[in-house]
Amino acid sequence: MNRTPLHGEHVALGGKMVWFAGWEMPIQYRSVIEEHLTVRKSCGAFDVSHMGDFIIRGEGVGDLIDTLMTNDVRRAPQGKCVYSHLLDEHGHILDDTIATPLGPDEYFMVPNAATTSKMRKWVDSHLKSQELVDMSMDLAAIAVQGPTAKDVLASLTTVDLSKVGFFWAAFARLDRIQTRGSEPETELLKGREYRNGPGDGIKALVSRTGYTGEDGFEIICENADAVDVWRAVLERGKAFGVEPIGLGARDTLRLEKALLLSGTDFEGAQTSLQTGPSWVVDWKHDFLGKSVLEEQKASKDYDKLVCMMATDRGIPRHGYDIMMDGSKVGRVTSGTLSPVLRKGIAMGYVPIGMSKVGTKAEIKVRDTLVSAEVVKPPFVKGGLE
Amino acid sequence: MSVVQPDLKYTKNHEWVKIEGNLARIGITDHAQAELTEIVFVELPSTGKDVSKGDVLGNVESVKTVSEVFSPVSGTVNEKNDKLVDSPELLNKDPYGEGWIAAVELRNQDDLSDLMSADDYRKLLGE
Repeated sequence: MNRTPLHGEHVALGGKMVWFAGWEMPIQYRSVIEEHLTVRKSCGAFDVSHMGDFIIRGEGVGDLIDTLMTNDVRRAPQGKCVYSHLLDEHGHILDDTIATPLGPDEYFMVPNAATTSKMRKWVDSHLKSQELVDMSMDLAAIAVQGPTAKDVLASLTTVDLSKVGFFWAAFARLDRIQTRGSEPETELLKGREYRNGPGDGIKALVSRTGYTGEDGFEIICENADAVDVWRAVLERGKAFGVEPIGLGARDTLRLEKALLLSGTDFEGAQTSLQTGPSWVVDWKHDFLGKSVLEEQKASKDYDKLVCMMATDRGIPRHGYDIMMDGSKVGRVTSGTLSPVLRKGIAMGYVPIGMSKVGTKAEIKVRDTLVSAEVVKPPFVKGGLE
Repeated sequence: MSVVQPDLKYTKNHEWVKIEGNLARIGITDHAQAELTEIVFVELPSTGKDVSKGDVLGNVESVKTVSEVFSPVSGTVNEKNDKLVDSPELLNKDPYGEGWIAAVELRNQDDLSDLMSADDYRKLLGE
């Protein structure tokens, strides 16, 4: 069981700790619904240090990345964060990730916690002269998410983060909080050019990314700095309504925005064509598994992940059957009660012919058939989509 | 520390039973509601339904989990608490009062002898 450097903070804050993907993480501090609504209304702080951190670098690494990613990461400008899938030779999704070019021959990649070791082996097996540096155990990550996130960040750093656009990253010194006074040791943070120049302050990679559908930032710093950053976010953030948020609300927040959960919405047998979103595949470049996706697309015969909203009472859950005219047509992969809509919401696979918005179906909740309808994602509008 | 009412009977699955003549009124304990956290949906049994001891009487759901409520006795469902349909939070606010789930007409009074006293239940909780 791994613990993040913030473990003691979570326990002190009353976090209910659970096992998740090999890590002991807080599922909630107070109530999942209250935490969820805090992020929608003001701002939440999440420990996401369990996520992986790779640097992949060396001559020709751009071409290598190009073949492993469904999106065109290679042609992204320096500092642009690109959401992408990695497929196997059968076109099946191995993981989803955010990859960011740090320089001409250097990329930063964040795999999911549960897939970190699998992805390291997978990328490693495609390397020639290039190298992969796995800093997953050396780096912490704190997500600050919600409408007031930019004000919270402004209380930590003099870097004008309003100039860092959605899905862009910048190296920033958190020069408005006390530094522990030592230099970073990881390949990600040492020897970088920081946006606010050389000087004091905790050094971090700050990206305008997240998993909540709200405006927000993810701060990646060294383990030794994590507690200082976390405390500063919570203390400075008080004025902006910041509260600590557990994995429970992280899951309901992402589901309201129809964001995929690795290992749940895809688990080794689905393609990017089935899951979407459509922009995750850049068809103009070549990548492993592309021909399978092209064949699948031409066949017009596959199951598609759709968003369904319950029109009756009842909460859809992972594994529940999706029914139509008395027969099973699919399966729910993610389901919950939406704290914002107060309705059951679900994502699940149905045959493509039944995937049109407005299609009526039922979700089998134990012995009850709950009426539901295919809706356009996301379930909850607003924020950054 | 959770509340254990002295005048009720309990099960190891954290249900409580209040004996009202031939009726067993059933709910979940304060400990159970606290473990579940905020309850957002309650599935009630139909009145007239025949249940055996140990059968699923209903389901109580939080945002993240589904928890089954087992009938501590055999008999016929005589009443159900329809207030919980619109106000599932009553289970959190008043688990031993307004948050009752159903009342079962007893088929066999002997079922009651298998239930735990408040003292035994408190010991089970280790509080």
